Amino acid sequence: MGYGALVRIAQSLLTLLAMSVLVFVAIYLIGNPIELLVPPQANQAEMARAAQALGLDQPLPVQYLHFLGQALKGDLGRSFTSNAPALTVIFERMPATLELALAAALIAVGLGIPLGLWSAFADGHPASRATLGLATLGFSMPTFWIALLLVMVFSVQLEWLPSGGRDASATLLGWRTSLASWQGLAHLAMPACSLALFKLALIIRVTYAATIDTLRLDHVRQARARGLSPARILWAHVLKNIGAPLLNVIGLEFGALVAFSVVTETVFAWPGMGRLLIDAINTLDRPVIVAYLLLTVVLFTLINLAVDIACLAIDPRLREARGR
Amino acid sequence: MSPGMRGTPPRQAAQARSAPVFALVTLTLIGAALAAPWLAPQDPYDLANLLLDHARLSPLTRDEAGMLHLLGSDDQGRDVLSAILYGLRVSLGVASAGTTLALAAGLTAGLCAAWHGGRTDAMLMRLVDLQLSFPTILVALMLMAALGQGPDKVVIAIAVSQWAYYARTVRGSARVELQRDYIAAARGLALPTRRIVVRHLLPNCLAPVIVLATAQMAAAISLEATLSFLGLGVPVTRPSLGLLIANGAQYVFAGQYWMSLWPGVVLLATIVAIQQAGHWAGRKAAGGGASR
Amino acid sequence: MTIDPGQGGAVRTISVWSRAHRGLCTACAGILAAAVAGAAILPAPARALEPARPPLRIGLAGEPTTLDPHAVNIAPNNALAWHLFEALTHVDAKTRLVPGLALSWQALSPTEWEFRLRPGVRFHDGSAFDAEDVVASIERARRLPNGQFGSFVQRISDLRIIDPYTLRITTAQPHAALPLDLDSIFIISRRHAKASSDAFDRGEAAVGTGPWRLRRFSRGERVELDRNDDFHGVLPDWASAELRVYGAERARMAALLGGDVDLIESVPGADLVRLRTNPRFAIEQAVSWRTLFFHADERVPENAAPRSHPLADPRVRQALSLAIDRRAIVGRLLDGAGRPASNLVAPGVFGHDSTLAVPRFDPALARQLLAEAGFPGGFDLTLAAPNNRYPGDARIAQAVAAMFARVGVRVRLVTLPVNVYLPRARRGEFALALLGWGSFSADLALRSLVATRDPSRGNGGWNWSYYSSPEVDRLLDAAAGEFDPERREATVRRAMRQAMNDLAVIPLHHTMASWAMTRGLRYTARTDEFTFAHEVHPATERR
Repeated sequence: MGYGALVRIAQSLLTLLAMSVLVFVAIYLIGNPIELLVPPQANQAEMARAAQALGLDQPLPVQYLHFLGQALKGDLGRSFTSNAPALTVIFERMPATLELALAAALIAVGLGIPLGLWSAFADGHPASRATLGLATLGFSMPTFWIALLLVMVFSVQLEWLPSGGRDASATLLGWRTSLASWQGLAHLAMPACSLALFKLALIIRVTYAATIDTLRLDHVRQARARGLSPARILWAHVLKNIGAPLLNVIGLEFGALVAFSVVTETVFAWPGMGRLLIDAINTLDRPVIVAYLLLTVVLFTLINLAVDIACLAIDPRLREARGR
Repeated sequence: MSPGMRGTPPRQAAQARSAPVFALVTLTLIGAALAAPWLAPQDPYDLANLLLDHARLSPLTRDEAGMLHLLGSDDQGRDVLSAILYGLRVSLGVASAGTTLALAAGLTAGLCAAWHGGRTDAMLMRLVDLQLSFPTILVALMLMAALGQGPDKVVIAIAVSQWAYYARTVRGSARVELQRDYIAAARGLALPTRRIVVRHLLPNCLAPVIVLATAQMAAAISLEATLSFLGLGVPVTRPSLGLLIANGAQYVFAGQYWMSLWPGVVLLATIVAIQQAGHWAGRKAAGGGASR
Repeated sequence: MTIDPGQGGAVRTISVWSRAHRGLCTACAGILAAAVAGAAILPAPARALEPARPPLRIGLAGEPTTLDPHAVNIAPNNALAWHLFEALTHVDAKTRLVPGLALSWQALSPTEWEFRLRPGVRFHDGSAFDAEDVVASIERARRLPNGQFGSFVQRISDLRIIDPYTLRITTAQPHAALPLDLDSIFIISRRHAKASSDAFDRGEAAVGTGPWRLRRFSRGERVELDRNDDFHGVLPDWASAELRVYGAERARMAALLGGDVDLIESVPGADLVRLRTNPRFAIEQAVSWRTLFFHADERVPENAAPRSHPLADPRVRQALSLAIDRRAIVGRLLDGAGRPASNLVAPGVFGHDSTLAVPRFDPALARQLLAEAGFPGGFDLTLAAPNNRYPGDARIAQAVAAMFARVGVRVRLVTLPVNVYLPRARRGEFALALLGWGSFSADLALRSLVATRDPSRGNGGWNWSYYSSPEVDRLLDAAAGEFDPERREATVRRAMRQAMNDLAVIPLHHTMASWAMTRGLRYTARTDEFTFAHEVHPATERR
């Protein structure tokens, strides 16, 4: 495990490096951020001075090495547009995104596992079939399309929920969050639901599949035949068996939730870091793009590690299998 | 969106029965896309047809020129039905080009890894694992940020974000095939590597990949739509379904739903139909035993 | 002058450079104007206020990126800075120059100015304001690394404090526009002259003399303000205010409809229609300082085939102008949020020529002109526009492309994010390029946009059409040397008329700035599109 973790970390560092080079070069090629950063009437000399102040007059490799040196010191540069440290800008937006992803994950897990279990126990029942069919549909729906449908129904037609924005005026344990007030929750409901749908469908299917497999095992069938109550079977057999695959899916998909929030945040004007990324792409705000990417890679690595460890913890068989 | 349907072989007979329906829908949609110039009441690519005076007409309205807009018109005066038919063409075209490119890249990488084994294999598969640990949307977004916009760039983004799925599948089946006698025989005859790989190995690895490609095609359509929706995809004068939805989105809030709704319905139908048809084909290819 | 503020609060670049010329006229009348306007700003007794009135909540479109008033010169930052800070001079809602922290000013010689400062003003921390603070602020604006306000003070060669309330400023060359330049230099306390931008963002250095004090700044989200009860001017009607950022139109509208805010700026066009019929809300709208137009590249390279560059022919440009249905663009595409343009600057702006008529929409005549020019079958051209800069920019470009197509001109449409678009347009890659320009003074707009390109004199920097008219150049030079405001404006108008008749640019429309608020509030639309919490008032004295 220790060795595996080290390899993982080394790999992630390499990825970070590769990603940073890629982004650096690519953004250098598409446009010159200086054009945007100086007042429109600036003359050549002023532009040159601004470029110098930002280090944009240096050759690309020099710029990159400089960046790398700073990055090792924990400084990813200042945003070209706001002049604030890029990491600060992202961290300021991160709570909104994490809150959204968390809410979506709760919805997906909270609804997905029971529905999946129930579908498996009631396999063949029309309602079970309908659930699975809907899950398949949920798989296919692009996130932004769900989001728009929700707006059409709940904001425009019924006028029940606000069509965008975030209300985090209330605090919970010193943290400003939309989870602490009805207003906040009303703003959160549609973005979270639309983001959750794909994961919900996935979790239903994974739970269903894993449960069905478990129920087919001989000793479980015997237990059922002996008249063991479904609750008992659920606790004694099913949950133990489906835990690991589910954790894997949930962990990995949490990362995907964060990534897909780019889309949801755009539709619902949710002020998170996904929206920030799109804005940064549009303004060629290189430090912010690079910082976002590096942060995401780190986040994903951490999630993967956490999932690995959690899986080992709940399923001893894996521990042996990986012991080599 | 990853298509990773990790479910069991579905047992519902109903699903098996409905599968040919999906195949039929898929074929119809493809047919409609191909025949768009003959089916569409208006050529939405001819800018001279677009009149602001005919903009934002609700469905089933006739414009002053007497043309009936079955599904309404958009903010530029484009007939929504025509735009959908042509948009479907763009969506399907871009997605299939991307899928083909991804398939080619994945096949090459997968065969390469399986054939050479050892270090090459380890390196390639590590790369695959790495890429698969990132959501495709993120990979695609970065590419669009780097490459700029346009249908060709979307094709590249699709290919880059999907090749890994194919590489993994191909490598798997190629390794199995490499153990077989006929490969050993071919090697014994000292046939050139290229010939063994292309003539013998490749054809035998193709089936599962083609099946995968069908499912991935749905993911590719969805990806293209998402990128275009975010404004990073195809140009405004030749909108795909995703861009049509994005263009209409701002009017959704004012209650003028049709500019977004209908393209969305067609997009959804396309994705579902192709995905289901893919699964059906997959089950058939897997031996047909699953569907009773 | 600005290339225009972006949609939904993307980067807005604004500078008050162009107001400078406006200043040339007002400045001459320095003391007189100052005295008159100064009377209006003199301390007024605070109105009796209901003690428990909830804070005024405003939804902003653009995100203020920093509280450092000398760092990033974009509209949202400047708008916010005006809440906390003041400058020596101010510009009122109608763009006239009025006194700020300076009560009056006077040119002693062509290169030396004397500013008389307002006595008795206190910073938020209680310390007194005097000339030292002005010197410290000008120095900081000049020296701040990456600071974008340096160009407003770069002509200043010397600052001399005569007494705490008298400051003499020397410029290297005669610079009559100095008072308007100083409208962009916010005055900070000299105790914070060395503060970093971060110190401002944390709030410790964000200490000004403005009508509001800072309570809290959360970047990208909101700014909370408390009334500065020691403010020397008219006190705000609310004891506290919250400026919340809703970059997306959608979120802004939802916030207003849901009662999260009392007033929003930059109302989305499609929603204006709905809001007008809603009795709960009121709308304030005015033509803003921004005009959209196309530059048509007129260059004909040496030994090029005569018919290979159709845009060089005035009849062709005339035809393109006639092919555009401006009323349809404004009415159908922008839902009325604009006004068809005949000029390069908005009506009411210095140098606007009201005798010019909005070009007709006449496709038949357009086709005839094209045929006369030798293009009966039309021709191909590239039309480019940004897609995230001006309200509806890409959609407008597409509609214009369609209109051109109907007179036989085949358009290749290119829409790009502004930061990719601008460099390419500057390099002259597009035959027709959309640009928006905000200006308080027509002569500066003309000088940048249509004067013969001459980098050494700073002329024609944005002249993407490479239009060159000796007559226009001569008139602009004459205007620069004319100190009588009326004669000067007449000269500028002649230049405008000449340029517009030559179709140096093809005008589209002036944009509208709009505010929506709950009924019971009142806000006077500002030409510069700023939203000031201290200029929001209850519609009636009692609620």
